[in-house]
Amino acid sequence: MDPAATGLMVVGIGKATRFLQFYEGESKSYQFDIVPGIVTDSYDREGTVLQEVSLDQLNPPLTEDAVQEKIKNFIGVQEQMPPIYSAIKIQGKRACDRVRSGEQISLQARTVCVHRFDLIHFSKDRLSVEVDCSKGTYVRSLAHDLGQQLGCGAIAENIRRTAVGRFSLQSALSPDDVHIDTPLLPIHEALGHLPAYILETQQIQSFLHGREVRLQNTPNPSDSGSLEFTPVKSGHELLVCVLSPKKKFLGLAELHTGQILKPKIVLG
Amino acid sequence: MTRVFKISWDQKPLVGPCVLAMGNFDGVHLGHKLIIDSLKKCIDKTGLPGLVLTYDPHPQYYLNSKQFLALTSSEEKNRLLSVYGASDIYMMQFDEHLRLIEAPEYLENFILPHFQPRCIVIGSNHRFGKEGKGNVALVSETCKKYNIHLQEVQLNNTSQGTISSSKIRSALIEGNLEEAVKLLGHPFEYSGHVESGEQIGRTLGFPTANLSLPAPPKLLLPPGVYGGRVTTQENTYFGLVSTGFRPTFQGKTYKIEVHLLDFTGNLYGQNLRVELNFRLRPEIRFEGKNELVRQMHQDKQDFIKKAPAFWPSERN
Repeated sequence: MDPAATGLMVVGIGKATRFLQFYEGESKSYQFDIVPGIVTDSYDREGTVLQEVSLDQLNPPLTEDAVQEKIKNFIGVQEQMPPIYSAIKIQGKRACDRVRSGEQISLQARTVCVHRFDLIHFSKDRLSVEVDCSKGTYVRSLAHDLGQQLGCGAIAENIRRTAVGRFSLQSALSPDDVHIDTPLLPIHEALGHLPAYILETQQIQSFLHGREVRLQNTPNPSDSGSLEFTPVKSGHELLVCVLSPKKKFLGLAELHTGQILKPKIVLG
Repeated sequence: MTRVFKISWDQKPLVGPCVLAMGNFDGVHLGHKLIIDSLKKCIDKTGLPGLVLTYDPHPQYYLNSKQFLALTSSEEKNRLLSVYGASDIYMMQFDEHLRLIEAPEYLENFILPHFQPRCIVIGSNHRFGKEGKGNVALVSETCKKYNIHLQEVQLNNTSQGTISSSKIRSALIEGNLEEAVKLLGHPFEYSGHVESGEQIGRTLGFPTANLSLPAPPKLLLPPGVYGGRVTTQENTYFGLVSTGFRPTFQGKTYKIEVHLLDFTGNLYGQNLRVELNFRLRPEIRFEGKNELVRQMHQDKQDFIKKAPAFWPSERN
């Protein structure tokens, strides 16, 4: 997450840290403000001001309708240039650190997808928006690019991440509110976005030893209440949660064709 | 003083309200002069700054580098635009973004927000956007939508008939330099520096400066002898310019050789601007040096005969 942004972060504790990688590919949601009339090199207020543009002479003028019209251009799959002040790593070093140490860098445009881009509140000097977007989308770039299309430039402010995959800010805890006796989400619930398969009792030992398991029955998604089943692909195979008949979480596996489960991460 | 801004899709400036002339301006011919004149009128009427948006490299060169021949290099283009009174020139790098962008999107998401034009001046035959689908009709529609004044400059019914860069290119390739110069409204020109040559000219009594060849896609004139003027660092001279392969000396590569009239001195390393106004004759293979020298004297006589019609006030 950008240093200046606030909001939701998925934190794993102990063994659960090994599963955090499976959230990286999840969609994110953000709330933020777009401040028109200013262009900076970081696309937020941290960077150097490159240009300030008067909003009075814009054609078309900066109206709610004009913004709604331009916002439509940003929905869907697109190539996005990340800000040069970004956490993208170039040969192991973050782009923003390279820029701060005076290096000239060039970044590649990345393919991202914006699922939703809503104008929540419009005023002449501040547009409050909400965005649902794919992994790797920079909302600062969305603000900058929208500003370019409006002809006045713009920066992002008050970036707040409101959701990562199925987790939302409403159900999150502030770090100060976490105590030794705070009930935490069990791993298999945290991985509820993956389909789950229940092993036969006699297969459990084999799986826990890291061996491939041939499924005898057609696998059934476990009864996990309101959880969504969004298949996540790891490489070319389907990633699944593996549970014991008593719904105890055993680990993650790849489901290969021919009903073979290849263990990926096993909880000892 | 003309300012030239190099811009690209990744570095697009936000330029305030202005009068915008857009086009490729290859050759900066009489039609382009009409566009610049119209731009200047709009500047006077509105009091807004005026700017010229053009592309580098020429889109046709980017799309088909083998077929396209340019009448002017970008430096020559900018100089001529400046001579006609353009004050700010934005040279937009033509790249994949521009090749692939649909014309309406180009107008609405680039031209309009970034330049904020209150008036657009455009030649009637200008095409832009993906596959050249953008035209005056589209600009007109967009201008109506955003209440922008459109000044279309007709290039079909001028005193010289239809003026277009491709018509001038054809004339040059056919060896009809005079027709091309008429449509250009100025001489065809080469700029380059003087390289060391084979120094054959000196032994013939006609020392020539060997001009460095212009970078592609600049058009190379068909082999022949041309008349024009040459500007050195100090002065301007009448000159005979020979282009081609020097068949009398079994030359293999195309060269541009310049003989300055009434000049003695050393030009090595100097930058020359060579203006060509008319064609005297095609390139001929002579049997020997003597015949060539006789012809060169004849060329000089022909030049002197023709010169007063081109430079009446400077006859010598």
